[in-house]
Amino acid sequence: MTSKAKKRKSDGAVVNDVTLAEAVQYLTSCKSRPKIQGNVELQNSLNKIDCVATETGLPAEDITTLVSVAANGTFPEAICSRLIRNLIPATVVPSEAVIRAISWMSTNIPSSKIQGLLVRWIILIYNMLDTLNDLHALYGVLFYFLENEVMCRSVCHLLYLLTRKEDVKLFRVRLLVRLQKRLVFFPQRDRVWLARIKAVADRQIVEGPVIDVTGRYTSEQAKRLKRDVIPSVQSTAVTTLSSDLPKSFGQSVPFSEITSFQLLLQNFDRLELPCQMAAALKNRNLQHVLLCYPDPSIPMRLSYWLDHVLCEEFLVNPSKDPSRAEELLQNLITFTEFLKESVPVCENFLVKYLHVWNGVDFRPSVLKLITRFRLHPFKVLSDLVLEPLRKLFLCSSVYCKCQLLIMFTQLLYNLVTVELLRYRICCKWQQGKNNLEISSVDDSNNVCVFTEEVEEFNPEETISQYVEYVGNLIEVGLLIEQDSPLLMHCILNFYEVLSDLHLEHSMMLIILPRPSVVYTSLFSNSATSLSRMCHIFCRYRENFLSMKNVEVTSLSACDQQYRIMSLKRIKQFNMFIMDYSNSLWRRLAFCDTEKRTIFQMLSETDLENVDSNLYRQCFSLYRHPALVGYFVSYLKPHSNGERRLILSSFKASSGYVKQN
Amino acid sequence: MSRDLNQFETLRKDELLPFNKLPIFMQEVMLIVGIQGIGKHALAKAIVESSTSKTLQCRTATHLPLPEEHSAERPRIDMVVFMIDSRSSASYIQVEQSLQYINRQYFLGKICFIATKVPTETQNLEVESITQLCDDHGSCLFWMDPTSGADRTVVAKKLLEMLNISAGLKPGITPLLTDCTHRLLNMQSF
Repeated sequence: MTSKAKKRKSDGAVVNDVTLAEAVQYLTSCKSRPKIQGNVELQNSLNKIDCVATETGLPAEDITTLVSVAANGTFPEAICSRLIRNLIPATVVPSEAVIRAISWMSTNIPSSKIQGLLVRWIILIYNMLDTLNDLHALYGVLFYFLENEVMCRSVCHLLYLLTRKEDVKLFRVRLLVRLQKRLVFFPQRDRVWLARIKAVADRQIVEGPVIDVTGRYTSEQAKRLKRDVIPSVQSTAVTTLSSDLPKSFGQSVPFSEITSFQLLLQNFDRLELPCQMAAALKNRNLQHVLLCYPDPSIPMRLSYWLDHVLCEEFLVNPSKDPSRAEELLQNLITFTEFLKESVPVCENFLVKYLHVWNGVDFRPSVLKLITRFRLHPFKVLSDLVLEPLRKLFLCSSVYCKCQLLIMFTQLLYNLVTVELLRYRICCKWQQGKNNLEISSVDDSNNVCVFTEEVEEFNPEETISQYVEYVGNLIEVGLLIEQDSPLLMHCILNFYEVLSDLHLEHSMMLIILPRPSVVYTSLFSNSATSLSRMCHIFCRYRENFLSMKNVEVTSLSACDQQYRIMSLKRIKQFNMFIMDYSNSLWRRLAFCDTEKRTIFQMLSETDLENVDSNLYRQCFSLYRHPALVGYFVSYLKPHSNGERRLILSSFKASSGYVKQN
Repeated sequence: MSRDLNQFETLRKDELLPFNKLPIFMQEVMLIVGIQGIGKHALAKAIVESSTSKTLQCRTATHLPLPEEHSAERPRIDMVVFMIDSRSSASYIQVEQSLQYINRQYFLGKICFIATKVPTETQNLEVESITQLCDDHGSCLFWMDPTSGADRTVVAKKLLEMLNISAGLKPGITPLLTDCTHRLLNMQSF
């Protein structure tokens, strides 16, 4: 072999011809301070490990061995750190490996840089550990590492992941409060490293089960763990719930054992809540607890977690795999639907996300979450939420416009059914809290899980301005889409909800549909639009009648004002009715003899040369383009087999229609 | 806008005007302005591919004003799109300067902005300053991932919808009318 070839080989550029087992075997057998320069076998072994780790990840037993190799000081720092960076697990990491790492760290043989690296590695593979109990047993030991300046941040992060309720002791809190002044956030390091670990984990999911490990998780569960954002229910006390024996009084029951609603009811007074409240997103029993447990720290814990995860998954570090984010949103939707309440941190996230949203990613889920928004002053609601949606509405396809309109309808429904009442109760509760001694009022109100300070504003004002905003979009949308029947359908849905504000939701507010929508329905080719509009008019009439009969004295000043304002709209409503009945029933379309009609499309001079019967009758019941098909099928039994329809028979039938 | 109102009154020679030429039948013309290497051509290609009309023109320029030569043959420009690279403040400054060569008529719904979505480490411009620029000019802002073809198509479709309106191809609607749905411009009293 020439010297040139030798040199090439020593650089490690030559293809590996060792197996992983041989490589690990070589590294373990090395004596202290082996030759590095020109050591072909060492280079080959390292390259092989590098290669296997990146492609499939390392098996559990090799990870344990390699942790010792990296930490026992046999090799120089550069090689150790390369080894640690390659400790990418194929499925799970045995807790044995982590314990070895911590015990080597305690001996001070590895340099502080290597120690720091080991802690960072533990953080990265934290979710892949087969059991957490062994690591948790070393909690006290880990706490002492806080003294080390280099590792302080990483150890804080690890402790944050590891801390359970019983770990919180006064002396620890004191130390951490002191530290907190220096460290505000956990650093977002190791992105590339994490990405490598994730890449291997994702590949394992695709390729199917590889290794079955004994321990806490089967490989199936471990794979789910890597993919899922939402943690499962885990409790500290690992006692088995023996169903035969009743629990002794005072002994707490870990939540992981509550598998049914029945068990929840039996043990409700001695529950031990899980380590991570975020599990509530997936666990219906925990959601029940969230609803009726008086402890305000529970929703707060969930909020902190959600805030962090939503930001991380969607804004800071969006994953290439959308199914993970989609699943998170779906769980969040089920959760908010169950509570009938939006999570304030989720609202904050949506506000941020809407501004950079492209209008396509996760559209159904994002829109569904917006429908649960709380009542805010309209200026706030408009600037933060409605403005980005308006921009999207104006430059999107007709399907997207319809989706948005359905969302607007659901939001309106949510505002008037749930949020209005909640806002009023919250306001009262807040006033009571400010006026009275705090001790005499309940610390949490009973209408929201996630309590927030509410601003004083007029909720009816918000709702009517919101309707105004949607009305504007509807008018422009109809013009852009040239009266698309699909869009019209969604618009009529909106007005169906709006027409019943007084009767169904007992609000002193009636807002009429936009004239452009009313007349588009009247002149449309679709019988559904026309008849649904007529139905909406019937609902409006009943609402107006009922509002007129309300006892004025029982109303608040504000409601009285709204009542007067709403009743003023009867005049315009009557004009709509006149136009509809003039066109459909009385064959007097476009006539303003009684000065009641509000649509006057043609001036008298334009109509001089046109046969007045022609345009007056063209939108009557039997000539209306939307209804003419129905009219013909109605007349067919009366036509006696003749192809020409006889007008006299029609007159009789029109009388028939009127009578009924 | 902080510019002196009188400046608008005197018609500048190098100013881009929306109505100084007759429109060509059924033709829509879009101008994309942005620094070199920002992906103007990729976007233009995506727009042309998503369009069903055969008479769509996408023109590109690194900055305004447009050169004086050939200005007679240039068609009327219906809409101007400004692209801002979040990584470089030079692109922001160039867009800011180019905006001065746009006639005020364009600000009634005939311009829009596109900012590139980049990883936070490489982001050089503050998100607030970009949104502020767009709000100051009362126009739309789209975020686009320059590396993703799907994202480009999404933005291209939105731009096409806007172009259809600003070129006057949708009967009965103008860009100004769509702008009237804005809360601050909404004159209709409750």
